[in-house]
Amino acid sequence: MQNLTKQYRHRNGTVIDALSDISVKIEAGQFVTITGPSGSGKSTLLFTMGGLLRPSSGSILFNGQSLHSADDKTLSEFRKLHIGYVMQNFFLVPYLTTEENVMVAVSLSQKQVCKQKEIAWNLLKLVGLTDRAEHYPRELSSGQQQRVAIARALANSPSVILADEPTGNLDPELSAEIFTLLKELNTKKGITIIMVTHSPEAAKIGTTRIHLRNGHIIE
Amino acid sequence: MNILHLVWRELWHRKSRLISGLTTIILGIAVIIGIRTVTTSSEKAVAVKLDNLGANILVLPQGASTDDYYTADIDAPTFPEGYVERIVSSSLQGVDNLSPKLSRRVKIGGSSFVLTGILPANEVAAKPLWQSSGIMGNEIAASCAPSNSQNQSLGFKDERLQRKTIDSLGSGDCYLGFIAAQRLSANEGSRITIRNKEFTVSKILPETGTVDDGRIFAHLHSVQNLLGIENQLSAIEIMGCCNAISDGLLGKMRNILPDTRITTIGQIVSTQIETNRMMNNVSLIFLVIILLVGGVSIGNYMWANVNERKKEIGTYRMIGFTKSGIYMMLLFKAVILGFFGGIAGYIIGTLSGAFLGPQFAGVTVQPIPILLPLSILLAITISVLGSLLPASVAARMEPYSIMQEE
Repeated sequence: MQNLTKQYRHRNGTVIDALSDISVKIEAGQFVTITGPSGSGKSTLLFTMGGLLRPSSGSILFNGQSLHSADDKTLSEFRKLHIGYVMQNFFLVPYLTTEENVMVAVSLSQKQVCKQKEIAWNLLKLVGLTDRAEHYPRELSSGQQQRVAIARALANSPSVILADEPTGNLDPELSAEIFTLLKELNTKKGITIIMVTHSPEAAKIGTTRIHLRNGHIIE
Repeated sequence: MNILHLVWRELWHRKSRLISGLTTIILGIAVIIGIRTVTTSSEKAVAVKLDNLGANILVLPQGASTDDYYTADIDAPTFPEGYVERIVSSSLQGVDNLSPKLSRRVKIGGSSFVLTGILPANEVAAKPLWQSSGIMGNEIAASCAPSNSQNQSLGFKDERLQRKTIDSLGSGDCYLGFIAAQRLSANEGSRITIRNKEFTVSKILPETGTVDDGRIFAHLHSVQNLLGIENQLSAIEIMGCCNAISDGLLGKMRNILPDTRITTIGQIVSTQIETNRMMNNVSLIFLVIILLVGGVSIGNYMWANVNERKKEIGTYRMIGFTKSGIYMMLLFKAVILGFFGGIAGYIIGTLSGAFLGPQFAGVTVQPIPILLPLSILLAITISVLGSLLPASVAARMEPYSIMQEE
């Protein structure tokens, strides 16, 4: 990211700088944690990196591919193939089973249903939820829902996982499980993890730390 | 796993809203189908009744009185027999069962009778051009009316109302109307003398309750010869299709036969035409209302659905769905709603028509299968049109904003 800015215009006309002149280079295989107080621009930075939010100015390059001016189709393709999202609120589809929630992401790149099922099953095995494959999200605990979200994030073998407060709704024990899982994905599979967190303790997991305040990187 | 699977699962997940969304389409389509089936059955029923009444258009010479439609041909001035050929060769649509006639009053034994010269069906068969237009050849049915078998299904079983044709008639034969036979005390095989020519009574016609009961029917050419009016007619009776009459058939015939008077059973035909027009207008008004109300209702349903599904839409966008993918997903849902709404609307409309038709229109209502694909097409059109804007808004939603709201 080079000289990245993101501005919002408030209803009363004032312009708010959510991100100001952010320049960061993240190498493949890093575990990056982003910390900062509420409103400091952590989530904005994460979503901008992931192609869900367009910057007001500046550039974003992913493996040499420019994202800041890409069209919707290119950005959607980028998210599908390279990015896995893990969110605080899980964002599972309520009317799909655990297996189907993973399959829906797999289906974007794999059209054969039997292959979709096979991939989904292997991912659920990875997160230890094969016994919950036919359950709906409402029938799962918060920790289980987050593990389904992680399995879905891995559906298309992404090179980067963007995690926004992934343990924000979990108790300390389940949080530790999720951190362990993310750490394993980073170390064993070489997936780059970029995680937003409030917790200074959780931030220590990262090999690289970014601290934001008022849209600026201060550390 | 594909878009159809996702749409299907979402529909079942929100069944109560699915039912409310479908109800508007179903009711709208049901109303249109109900009106249409009753109207169509009513039109057929009236067309059959008109057919059973016999000819509904009368071509008379200029100067003929038309005070009484049923006796206008008696003692009327004449016009050339070749006028029949003119009508036949004009290829007018909606003209059927032409029947040339020559009628005059004659005295038999001091009593007055109406002698009517007609052409029997077997002579029509010898004239291919006439046969193709059905002059006296068809037992029943103007081109707009249902067939005889349909007559039965529509409940017209009274044989007296069935239109009769005379298949063959020799130059010395005659048919007697029911009352004429009584007045002459004649039976089948009797001989009667008209102006010194002897005729054999071939048949006594059943009572019809019309002026035909008092007539004596003989071969047209025998009557022309007997009366000394060669190649002349006093009238041509025609069975005209009601719809063709409403579309200006009489005017077209007047252009072909400018020196004649062409009249119709005005009251019956105009009533039927007005009824048909009114029902068609009602259908059209309902169609427009249903399109508007149905479209707005589906639009509202889809708006609510899109708002309710913001989180899902954000999720789909997050994992890689394109804007067009979201758009297609919602329109696909609209197509499914329309498809099932159209089928259900057709079934309910047809059943309602079958139940209410006999009570309100006095007709037996038959299902009209061709309306099923039209119902589905209409319902899908309404549903898709109503969903275009909500789907477009949903597709343009910023996933980041949705995530932040959550």
